[in-house]
Amino acid sequence: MIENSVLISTSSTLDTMRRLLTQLLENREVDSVFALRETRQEGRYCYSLITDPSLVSEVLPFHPVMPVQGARALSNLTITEPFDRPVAALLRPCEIRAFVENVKQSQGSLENIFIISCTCPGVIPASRLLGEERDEVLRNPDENIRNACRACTEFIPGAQADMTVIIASDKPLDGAVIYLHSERAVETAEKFDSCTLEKGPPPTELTSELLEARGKALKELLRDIPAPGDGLRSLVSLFSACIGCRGCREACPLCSCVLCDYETARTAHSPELVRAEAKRKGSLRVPSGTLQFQLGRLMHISPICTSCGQCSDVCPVDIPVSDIFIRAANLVQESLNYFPGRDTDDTPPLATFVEKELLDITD
Amino acid sequence: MSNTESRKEINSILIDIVEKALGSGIIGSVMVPSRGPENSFPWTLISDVSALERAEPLPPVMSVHGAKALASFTQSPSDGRLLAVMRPCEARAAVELSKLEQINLDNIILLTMDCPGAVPLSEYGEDGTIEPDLHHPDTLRPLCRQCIEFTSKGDLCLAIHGGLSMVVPLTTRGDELLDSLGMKAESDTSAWKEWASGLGQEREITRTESTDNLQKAYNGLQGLIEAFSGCISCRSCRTVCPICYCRLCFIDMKDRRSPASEYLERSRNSGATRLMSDTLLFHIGRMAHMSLSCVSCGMCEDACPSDIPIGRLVSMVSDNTTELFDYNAGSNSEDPLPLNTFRLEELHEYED
Amino acid sequence: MKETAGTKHRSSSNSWSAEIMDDFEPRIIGFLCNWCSYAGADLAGTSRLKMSPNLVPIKVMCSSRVDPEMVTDAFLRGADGVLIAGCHPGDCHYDKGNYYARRRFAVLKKVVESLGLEAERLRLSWISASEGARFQQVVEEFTEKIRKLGPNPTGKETLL
Repeated sequence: MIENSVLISTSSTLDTMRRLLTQLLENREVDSVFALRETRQEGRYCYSLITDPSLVSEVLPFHPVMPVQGARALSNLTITEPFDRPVAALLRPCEIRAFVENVKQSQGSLENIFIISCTCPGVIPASRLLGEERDEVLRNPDENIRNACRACTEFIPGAQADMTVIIASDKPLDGAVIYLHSERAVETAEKFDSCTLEKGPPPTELTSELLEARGKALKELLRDIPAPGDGLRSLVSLFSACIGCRGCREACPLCSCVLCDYETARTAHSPELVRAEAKRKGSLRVPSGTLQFQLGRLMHISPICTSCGQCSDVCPVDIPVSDIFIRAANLVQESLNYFPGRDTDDTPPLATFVEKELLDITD
Repeated sequence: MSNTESRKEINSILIDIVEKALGSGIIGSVMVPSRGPENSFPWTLISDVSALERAEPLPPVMSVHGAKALASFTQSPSDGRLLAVMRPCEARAAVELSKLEQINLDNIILLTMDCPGAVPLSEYGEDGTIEPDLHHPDTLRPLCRQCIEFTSKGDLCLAIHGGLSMVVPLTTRGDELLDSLGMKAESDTSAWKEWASGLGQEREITRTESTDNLQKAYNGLQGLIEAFSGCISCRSCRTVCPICYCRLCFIDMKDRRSPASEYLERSRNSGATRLMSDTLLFHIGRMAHMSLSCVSCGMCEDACPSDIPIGRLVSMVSDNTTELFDYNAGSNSEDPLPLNTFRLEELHEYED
Repeated sequence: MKETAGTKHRSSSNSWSAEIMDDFEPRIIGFLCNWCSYAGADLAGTSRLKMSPNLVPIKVMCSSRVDPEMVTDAFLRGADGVLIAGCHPGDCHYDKGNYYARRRFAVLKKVVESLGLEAERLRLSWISASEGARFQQVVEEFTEKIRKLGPNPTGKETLL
């Protein structure tokens, strides 16, 4: 019985993870490792596909940054064909969920991916790691994580994870604690030296206080929805500084269209229309369509948004895009009774229906 | 004159001109930045004089590039005459975009000014008090510090240096507008031109120094890899670039996708491969596509959330590529795009 | 002297403030499905049922043809209300189109709610080809509701 099997090691989590990954590569249990590394420039990180065991020493497992949403990088790798040999991928819970959504939309494949995830303490906005405050910020990661992470209640990975490394927990741990969820994970752990295999309490028991704190933060975030009718003004204010860089879209793991609807001639406002509109109103912001783009993206993404916060992270003018998406996603997903990333077998919410549902919004 | 006052002065003169032109019906509409909420300066297309109340023709920051804003509604010829108030680098990009058939300049008059430069978006931030100061380069965006095309672009230019405070016409179109506004005054512009050449020389030095430093810091392949190691593939540099106008960029095309096996192959070659891959291909590819028309406006660098000196790098490359064809982007609307023309006898050193 | 809406807004800095005017005539965009609701509208017409002229009908082949994009475009460009009307559940000419339309409409409605925009300006109604009277009733009801809400502030907002 695999349930709640746990690998315990007295050495640090970082050390244990690196040894584990090295073993996986050296024993040819996997062909490659998908994980975070620091680049040659301090404070800048990237995901890498590593095949040489000696380079595992550079891996920073679950370092509190997300330079690229992992799902986006994995989708890039597997969009034309799945891996034909096993790869160990270190992914955060929101990255797994986003990737599951990618797979549903034929934007990637989970085949041959051995997923090592963690109880996620959150990540720090990339901009905070570029300046001089970096060391200070890294010393207190909990106080500096993204807004989205602060309000994340889904920090324990779902069924796709083969292993869960306990990173976030209510009480500090001595050494490494790794939960094993699959036969393969147990086999791997059995070959791993200097560790013990035990039965532990369910991971939820290690993080109940954290869940409570996160739940509270989420409630607060959701409370900030403007009253009906007050929203336009605040939306216009929020996006008045938008420079139209579309970084939010490009960084979003779920915005996977080759050509965004809002770059097409179909949705573009014609020159004649823009000029007529400007004449009618006396003044018009150009390029027009800032809110149209944001609303459109909300419409497309909110049903499957995994609330990772990447959109806010990349915004060069600090618009809290993810706060808006998290609010919308909560309402939308609740009404469609959909949980993004739970299972590849769940039908995407707009590709299915229930005969008797949503009766309150129609007449 | 303090810098705040000078920007205020420029703004009030420009608004006066615009008001006069719009109010008298000489032009039908004007495109100009306006003060928005939260210290923002969105571009606005204005046809009602009363909306000029919020106009700020020379804001402290560059939010969206003026040529990009202009291109969003001028692909077909404008029905009435349109006056666009923009910085010199924006006017130059507008000329490039007209060559690329993204803007139809037929009914458009470009009014520029002696540009003091702009404050980096990230530093302007929430308080919104920093002023761009010509004499204190550290207040300016890196590309503005080394800008040598800071004046005399477009159809007319508001000159405020060298003892002037007047609009100087640069084309017949500009001449006509001034005429119809009854604003034409003979004046000696030699001191202004002297000021421009003086600052130009200073800026040339800064530019050379900056290029040298860049080349030292990011030399060769390893240097480039390092320069772009922080790239998160957000493509903001491309999206905010006035010259990158393609709806679908080459890098995003489906036929460029590679199978997982190819990435593994790459990883085996060196032990590890960086993801998202193709970072260098994207940036070098972009430079190849747009560097000939690059106006060194620095939008890309301002938008980069990873603080990569991308604007300076592209501008440096642009210096090299434009030199090949003796081309200066946006300076003359009659010069054909270098890649749309050729001479029989040229570039022999690149062939054998 | 009564200020006209236009001048008041153009000079005002908070142009988003909605105002109720006595002479306000709502402009409502109606996406009507070809097989049921458009036929219902036709029937209302041939039956000479009187109704407000505020609805601008746009014929679509199915309520599921209505891309939420079309609705937000209308909404952001100043439509005071947007009605989507299709066949009753179970009666879709294309079998199940209206069920999908309902889900998409739910997304639209919730997104709009989450932003504090006026979700009441959006409506999804099932109207069959034989329900001329119901078509009239929906149009009347919705027009009245929008009239009470006042003009959509997006119509005058210059910084969208």
